[in-house]
Amino acid sequence: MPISALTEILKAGADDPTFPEVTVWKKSHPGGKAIGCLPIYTPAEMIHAAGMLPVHLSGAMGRLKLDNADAYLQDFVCSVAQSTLELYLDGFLENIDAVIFPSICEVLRGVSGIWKRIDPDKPIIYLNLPQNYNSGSASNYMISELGRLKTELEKISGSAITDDALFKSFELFNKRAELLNKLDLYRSDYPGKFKASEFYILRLAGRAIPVEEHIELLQEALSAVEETQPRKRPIARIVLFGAFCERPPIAMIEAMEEERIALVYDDLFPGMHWSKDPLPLAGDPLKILADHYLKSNLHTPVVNHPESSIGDAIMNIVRARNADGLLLATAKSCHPMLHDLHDIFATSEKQGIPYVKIEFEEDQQVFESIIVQIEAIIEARERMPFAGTDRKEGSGDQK
Amino acid sequence: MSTVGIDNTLRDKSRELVQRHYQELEDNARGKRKVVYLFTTGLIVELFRAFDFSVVYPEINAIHSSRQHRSVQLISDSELLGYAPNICSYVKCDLGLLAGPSKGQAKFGKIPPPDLIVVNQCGCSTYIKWGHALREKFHCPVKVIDIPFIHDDCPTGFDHEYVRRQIEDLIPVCEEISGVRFDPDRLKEILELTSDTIDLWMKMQELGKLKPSPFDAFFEGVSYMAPLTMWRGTVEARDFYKLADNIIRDRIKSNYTPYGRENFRLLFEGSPPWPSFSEFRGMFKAWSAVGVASTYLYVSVAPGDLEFSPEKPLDYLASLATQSYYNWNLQKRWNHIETLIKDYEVDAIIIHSVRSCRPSSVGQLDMRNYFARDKGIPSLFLDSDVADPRFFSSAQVLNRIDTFFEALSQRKKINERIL
Repeated sequence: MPISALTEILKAGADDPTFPEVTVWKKSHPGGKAIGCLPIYTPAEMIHAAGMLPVHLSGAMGRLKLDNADAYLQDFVCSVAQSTLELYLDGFLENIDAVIFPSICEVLRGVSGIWKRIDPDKPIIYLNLPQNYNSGSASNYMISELGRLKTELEKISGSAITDDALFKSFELFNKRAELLNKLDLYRSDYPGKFKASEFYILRLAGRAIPVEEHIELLQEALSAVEETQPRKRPIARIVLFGAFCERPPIAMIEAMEEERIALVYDDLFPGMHWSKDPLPLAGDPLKILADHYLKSNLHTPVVNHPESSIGDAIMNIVRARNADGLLLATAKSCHPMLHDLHDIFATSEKQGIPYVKIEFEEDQQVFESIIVQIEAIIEARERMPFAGTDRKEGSGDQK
Repeated sequence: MSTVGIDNTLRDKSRELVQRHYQELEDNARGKRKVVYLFTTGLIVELFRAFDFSVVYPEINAIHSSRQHRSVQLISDSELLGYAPNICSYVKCDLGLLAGPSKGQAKFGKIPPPDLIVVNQCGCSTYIKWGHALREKFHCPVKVIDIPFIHDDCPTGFDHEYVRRQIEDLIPVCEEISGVRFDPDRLKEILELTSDTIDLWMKMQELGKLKPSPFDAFFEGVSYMAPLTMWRGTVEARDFYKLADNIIRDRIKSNYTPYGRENFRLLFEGSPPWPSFSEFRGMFKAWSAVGVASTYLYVSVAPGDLEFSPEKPLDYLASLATQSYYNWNLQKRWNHIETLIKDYEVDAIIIHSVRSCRPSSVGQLDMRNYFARDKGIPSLFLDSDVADPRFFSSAQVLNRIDTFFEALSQRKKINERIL
């Protein structure tokens, strides 16, 4: 089956905010518990090792009318917080037995309190992720937080999480990360064969299914990509960066691809492949998870890398992916991302890398203005290609 | 009930300390003492006093710029530098002042560049961004003290230890930059002063329980915060609150109340709208509505487990760093407010939501629901900003306040008639 056909099948349910997959899983796992994971990082391996289903919550992707959340959150709060809360208030998350709130921003922190008050009997686990990467005590602190999380998860599941179970989970999550990394490179090297929108759908499809099933799906996708005949070669290669808690509609990515703009990198699901390095399969599992989190070189505005600039990190990606420029898609009210824009703009200008910046909300329907702005990058490239571009010719894509 | 006129002694003394602070920064412009920039939530200024640093408080600079009606210009200057329009207006005020055409020269003084920036990230991750933006301008070291969010009733032992170790890690950094060797006895002396100051500050707030309240804990209280932040760990700060205690106790003897009479006893939640502070105050004064309690007074130090032990100065600092009210979870905040409502015999809650500040504002709408609907406490929700006056709509705010107090008056009358 060609990749387009496979992702077309998945697309219908990929952004379903009501998570029918959880209902299906619960039917086949009587008494099984589903744990909601808010952006952008939670150690899903631990949930899996507890025999529970991790479910990646991240708003409603514009597929839900907000009727109730505005009684709890002001209009200047990002729409992912609004719509995730709306899902909860409207009863769409009844199948979720507990929710983990990682400490990524003040909005999510406030929502954790509101969530608790709405239903005090529904467990929530607040997870403090260290932000002082330079401190020698960050690792110990993270281990203590992971220990607390483990205890809380054990209470919910009713059974102990053993080291053996954790290592089995690590192995599976490593496999998934490896497949995701392969597909990520594939869409960069062969954007005419494998589109970013298809990669997006494949990741969305894994939000609420067991990792074992997601691995099967990704393996099938990889085979499908290899069998896919090259389609038209894109006219521009763009890196998409947006610190995506709040995910843009699939239609936004597709609209760009219709104009033959290829997104050769994105940070739509940072939590799904947090680090390029696999989790080691021996040692202290909590320390392994702590190191995995702290030693990731992933740059995102909600993680503090004190000695390096997020602008430099993004420009390195643009160069590594032989991209023509950068599309910064910021969620309208995301303070962490908005604060980083100055550094990203300044670095981009200093390094002569063209960029455009757009603001979006998850329910956005019109994308023409985005296309027009990207066309400006293409024009800029034609006038003055930035140094270091060394496009891989003969990639198999049709010209 | 008697009126003895507006008593400005304390306010004037507080202003004098503010002026002295900026004067000392200017006097230090020749670089005699090293300069550290610190943030006020979860403040641990005492550590830096032990190394004789001169201290700059970027948020307080933003407050003074706002009070002096300079914030719109400074915000605009920072936007011209490329900072996004809808980020924290304190940050933009400060960056506009330091990186814009003003070049650090404010009406209230000249701000020296930092030798060290310490981001005590308590309750607000924007501080990290702020610190990094300042580093872009000044190219000096930025150190982070990551303070875990209090998601339960109190910090865990691991939370405390993590913070304490980060503070310990700062000692060699301070020694190297300041050229002053760490003297634990000096730190203890400074912390003794802080401990006394905080005790006096908390006791002063207790006086709001009296009927009538001898001072306005919001509109006056915020004016008395400067010694607690800018001068904490000094004799001046401690003596200010001793003076405050004397003055307020004198007021009690003369049955003084700030607006001549006390029609309503209010609890204020949230930060003030600084550029419109006087106007905002007038709207409450017109109804003789007195702030008898205010959660904003807990920004740099909140009630909690803060017992000072001279043998464990770093533990005390770690507690100070963690205990800001804005680092509390919502339930803890609400439980505390419920206690205040009872203890201070509060008639109503005024919630001032500021769009710049997510740590304080997210959850406040639900707070209104909780107190107004679930607990039956009249609650008024107002929405503007701390530094950007363009979000303060005078007519709208006035209208809402007047409507609220009209309803509250009716309610009071009815309650008085029911035995």
